[in-house]
Parts: sequence; C-alpha cells; structure tokens
Amino acid sequence: MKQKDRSFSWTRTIYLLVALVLVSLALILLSQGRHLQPLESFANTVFTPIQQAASNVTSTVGGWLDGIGRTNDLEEENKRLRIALDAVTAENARLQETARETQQLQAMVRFQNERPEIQAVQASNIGGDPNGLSETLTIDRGSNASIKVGMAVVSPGGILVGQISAVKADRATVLLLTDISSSIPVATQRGLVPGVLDGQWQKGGNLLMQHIPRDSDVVKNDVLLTSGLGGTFPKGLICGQIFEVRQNDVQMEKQAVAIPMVELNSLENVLVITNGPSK
Amino acid sequence: MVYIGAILLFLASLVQSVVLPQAVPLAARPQLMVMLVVAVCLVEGLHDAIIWGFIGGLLLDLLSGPAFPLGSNALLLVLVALLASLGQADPFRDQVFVPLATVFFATVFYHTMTMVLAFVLGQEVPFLDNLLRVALPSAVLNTILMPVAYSALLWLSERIGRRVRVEW
Repeated sequence: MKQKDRSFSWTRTIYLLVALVLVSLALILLSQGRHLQPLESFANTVFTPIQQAASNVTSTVGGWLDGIGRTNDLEEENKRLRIALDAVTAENARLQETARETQQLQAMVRFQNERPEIQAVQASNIGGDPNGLSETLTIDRGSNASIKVGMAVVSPGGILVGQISAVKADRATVLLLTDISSSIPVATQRGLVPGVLDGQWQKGGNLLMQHIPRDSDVVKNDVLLTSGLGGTFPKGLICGQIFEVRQNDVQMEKQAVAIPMVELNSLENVLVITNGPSK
Repeated sequence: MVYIGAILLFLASLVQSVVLPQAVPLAARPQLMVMLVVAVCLVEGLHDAIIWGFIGGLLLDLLSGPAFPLGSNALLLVLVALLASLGQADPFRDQVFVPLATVFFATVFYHTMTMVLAFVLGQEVPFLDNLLRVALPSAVLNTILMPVAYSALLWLSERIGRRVRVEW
C-alpha cells in the first residue's frame, strides 16, 4: 500500500515537472512574440516601485556603511564619542546623499545645456543582471518612452554608460560599455587617435582600446570620446580614460587599457539619448 | 504560514535582481534562488522544489530586465530542482557532503543553461570566460553559504512542518 502511495506521489511529481516545463516553454515563446506584454506591463507597474525602493535602500545603506567605516580610528581612540559620531556620520551620509542628488541634477542640466541637440529621456536604475553573466543595468523606462534597442545611454553628466540592448514597454536593459559584447568606435580627445573600445568585464578587466595605429601619440590619462563612426553613438561623448598603453615590437598596432569615468553599476539615474541612431 | 515560502521567494528574487548587482560589483555573486531551490529539494523533496523553482523563476523574470523572455528562469530553476533531486538518491541520502556538492553542481548547471539559452536567443556569449569567472566562483560562494540556507530551511521545516511550502 505504502509502495502504491509512493508510486502515485512520484507519478504526480513527474506530471507536475512536465507540466511546468511545458508552461515555461510556452511562456518563453509567447513572451518572445510579445504576446504577454499586457501581463508584463501590469507586473512592472506593481514591481517597479518596490525595486526603486530597494535600489534606494541599497545605495543609502552603502553610503552609511562607507561613512561608518571611515570612523573606525576614532572609535578606537574614544569610545565615549562613538554613538555621537555614528549619528553625525549618518547625518553626514544623508547630507552627502542630498548633495549627490543635487549634483546629479546639476550635471544633467549642464549636459543638456552643453549639448542642446541631444534629446534624452531620464530613467532610474532599478537593478542589474541577476545571474551576473552580463554587465547590464535594468532601467524603469521602455518603448512607451520611445526607447529603442541601440540607443546610447549616458550618465547624468553626459558620460557614456552603454547602449540599450533589450526593450519592453516599461523597462529596458542597458548593456554597459564594460561588457564583453560592447564595442565602441572611439578617438582620443587630445590627438584624435582612432581605435575601438571593447568591454573586458568577463575577462576580469574594464576596457581595452584596440586597433590603435602603432606610431600614434597615445599616453596614460588620455580621455576617450566616441568618434561617431558606424553611426551607433553620437560623436563626442566621453567614455573612458587611458590607464596603460601596451605595445610590443612585433605587432603593427598597439592597445591601451582604459577605465570608465563613472561607477557604472551604482548609477541611480541615467539619460537615454532618443534622437541618436538606433537599430 | 502558507505565505512564508512566497515571502522567502520574493525576498530572494528582490535581493538577487536589485541588491546584489548594486552591492557586489564582481561578476561572481551568490545565486540565492538556486540555493533556495536546492535546499527545498533536499529538505522537502522534488515536488516542492519544482514549485519553488517555477514561482521563484517567474519572480526573477518579472524583476529582471527584458534581456531574457518571461519563463526563462522558471524553466531553468525547474531543471535545477530536477538535478538537485539526484542528491536524494539512495546512495547519497544522509551524506553530509550532499547539500554542498549538490548546490555546487546546480549553480554551475544553472549558469551553463543560462548561457545556452542566451546563445539560442542570439546573444553573444563568452562561454569559457563566463564559466571560469562567473559560474565557478558563484558555485563556490553558494557552496560556502549552503550550510546556512540548508540549516535554516531544515529548522523552518521541522518547526512548522510542511506548511513552509508554497501551496499549488
């Protein structure tokens, strides 16, 4: 009897497994064909405020922990001041948060004043790639805000962050320029030396500028700008800074290791350039 | 109490899709949902783990960006549950190393299947780099954290019986 029960339970589990695999496959196909857009839009409406709140909490707590971490020496020196100091540090972190938000807004206004030809949609960073296989951000605006695949994404101050790689009605995925799939035509600001800036994150690095002519003048700290070649990115967006130049006697070209000029993962807001090229 | 499972799944998916990508700037992060599904499979059995995997995967899909279609993580986590059920096979049952080995292989399997899915969807996938720099370190992290997750699930299961499961 017991064996019969176990057999029944096992059969039920197998049926459930097969049913859920089939349902998942059906969902994938329907979602690929955009037949689930109303359902996904409804879910986004429900989840986006929760994600924004969680994102704000994460960055605020991170700021507090940084602030508290800086007080360690003082704590050892005078325990009596610890509570007061923590309170001040927390207040300081709050003030820094406000100042940072103000700076972001100022930077955004400055960028739009400097580049009036650029039309941009502001979006909030509400997460990233949950499995960590790609270097992406999730933003809370999508095709309803005229965002399309291929559009350039910049920080509030106008520094290139990446490009839109997938879009749904109310959210989009930003492929960061450090991802290995990212390849951007660039030129140095100082000597207009051309090259291609490739992401290296999956290889443990940041950015690698390749195809630099062997005799060109490229040095550490040179700032890299988008060259506008290929038409994917608007010309003249800052995208990185050279950290190290590599050259050997054999190769006809040289390479340069570069770093992004903003903390790509911790950006709270970004601008999606909507009047630039898109795919 | 029926809702404990749902709350756990929602919290895990929120941490996985929002908190960890911002708080941990490295590619290798713990895969909480994989850990949870494996722990449920070993504690409560395959039937419950399939349901946890499916619902947890749907939540991850809904909270993530549109890079993967809805249902992707649901499918992968159901398959993770199936793989984890091998840890319940008679020769392995009650062995101390089973939860650790199971979560290690389940995490590598999850990442590998995610890469295969991304490849099928036409995305550029650096298989070897992702395997070495993301999948294996994540699997090690999950293996280190598994005793906590497994003990917590075991405690919860013993304390409130099978009410911890998400009812279907």
